[in-house]
Amino acid sequence: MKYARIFTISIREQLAYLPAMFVRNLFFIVLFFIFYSLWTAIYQSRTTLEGFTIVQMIWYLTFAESIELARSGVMTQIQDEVKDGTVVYGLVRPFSYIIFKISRAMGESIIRCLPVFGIGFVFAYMSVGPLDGYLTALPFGLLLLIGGLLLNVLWQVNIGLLSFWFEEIGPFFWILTKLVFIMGGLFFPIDLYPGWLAGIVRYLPFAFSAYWPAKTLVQFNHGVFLTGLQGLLIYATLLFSCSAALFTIARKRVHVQGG
Amino acid sequence: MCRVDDINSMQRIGRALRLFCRYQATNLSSGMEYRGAFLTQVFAMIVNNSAFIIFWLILFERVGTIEGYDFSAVMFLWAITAVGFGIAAVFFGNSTYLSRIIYNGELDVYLLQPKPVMLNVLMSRSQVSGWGDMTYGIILFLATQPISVGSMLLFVLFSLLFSLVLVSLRVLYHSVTFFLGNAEELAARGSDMIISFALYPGTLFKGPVLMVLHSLIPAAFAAWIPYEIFSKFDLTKLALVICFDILLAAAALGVFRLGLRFYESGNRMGVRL
Repeated sequence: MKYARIFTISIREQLAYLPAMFVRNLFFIVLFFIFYSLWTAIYQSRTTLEGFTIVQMIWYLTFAESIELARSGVMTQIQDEVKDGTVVYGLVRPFSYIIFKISRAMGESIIRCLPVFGIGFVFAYMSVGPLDGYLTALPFGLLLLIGGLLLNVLWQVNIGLLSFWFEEIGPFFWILTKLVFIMGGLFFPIDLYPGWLAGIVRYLPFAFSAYWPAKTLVQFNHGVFLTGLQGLLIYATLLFSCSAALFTIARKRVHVQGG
Repeated sequence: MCRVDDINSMQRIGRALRLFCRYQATNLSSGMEYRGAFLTQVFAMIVNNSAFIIFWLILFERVGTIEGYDFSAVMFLWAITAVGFGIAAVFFGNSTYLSRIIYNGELDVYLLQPKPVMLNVLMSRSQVSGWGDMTYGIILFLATQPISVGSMLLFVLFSLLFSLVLVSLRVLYHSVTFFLGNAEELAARGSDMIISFALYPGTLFKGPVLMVLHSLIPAAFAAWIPYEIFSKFDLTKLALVICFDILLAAAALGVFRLGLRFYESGNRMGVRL
């Protein structure tokens, strides 16, 4: 219950900055425009590519991007707290440090996602028109979108906790984001990969951050949705367990001195 | 009289070069102080950038050429952008922090020193990860482009010109802070948009947006025309690119100097060691 409260407080905090976020995120129109120009050129000589039409491709990209671009700042927060020692305040409070961070970051991510999702919707609608079956797929897609945000938060918490051992954790994060870019199907659907590679990449954790939620939205069927949901549950459990284990080991490294 | 002016100019350039060398030696030795973090950042940046090769490789494998560009052409764009970006990060690392320096009143420290203000500010910070970008760009060029003395000279020239355009654009956009207050967000987004466009084939973009890409976000002069020259040498185009880049740099310097007249010194105490 207390974590739900932390989550809602975080949402309330972020809502105060929503108009500013919309303005800041207008930059993503440029990104979407570049994608649109690229894919329009590619679709000049074909109507479908691995089962995706240009309409589905543009909607896919805007949806996948809205998950990726809504990353919270939880990794940096943990890093800063470890570096300046304020992490100890979190240890003496009557809640789990890890779940507290996840709850806050989820509230942050969901609100951050709104402007990119909204801008993406308007851009896709105006550039390629409506997506067939959008309204039917939307509730399922949104559920997986929230799951994708959760996976991103859990990755960040894990990397943030590495600050207990590493001076600089940025490089881990860069590599993770690129793994999501390439193996998560952020720049194009995994279906475009050579068959053998797609078969592997499709079931790696990165694909559940972008590919499965976006595919559920543009090529909805219950099979796609259920595969996405199962993968999310499995990988979220694994990543959460990993962060809990890391934190248990890490807190033994904390030295408190002074008063 | 003319010879005295020439000697003065040479002395000024010599002093600027000495300052440049000293800053770079200091920045490198301070980066190497944390050798582990330095090497991790460099290596991670190489891996980070390499991910995009896979993207383009798979895409070209699937669709053939895109608007006249093939895999090698796009890799050329990536190579000069990476090296140009790396040069800007390593040697002119403060170019991304200019707005903050201006609105925090931190220019005071630089104004008091007997050195050219803009160069002094830009060079006084080095971003270590830029070494990774440079290494990546060079490897990418060697691995994907035809190697000859001519091609390597052009590659070096275009990489240097890319960094000149990028740094000039940053100075130009961040100088808005002198006149309008904190324009950090606008300047950062606006100036770095050139990188977003430069990494994609120039032929993708048509219509009015091309005017923007030849002026406010000059990706055409920084990357696409250099690629045309690289694939088929054209002296007129080369002269055009160099003239544009020099004009942009002069405009950046002019606006920065004009901005200094509007700069209001803060009462913040600071020391640079």
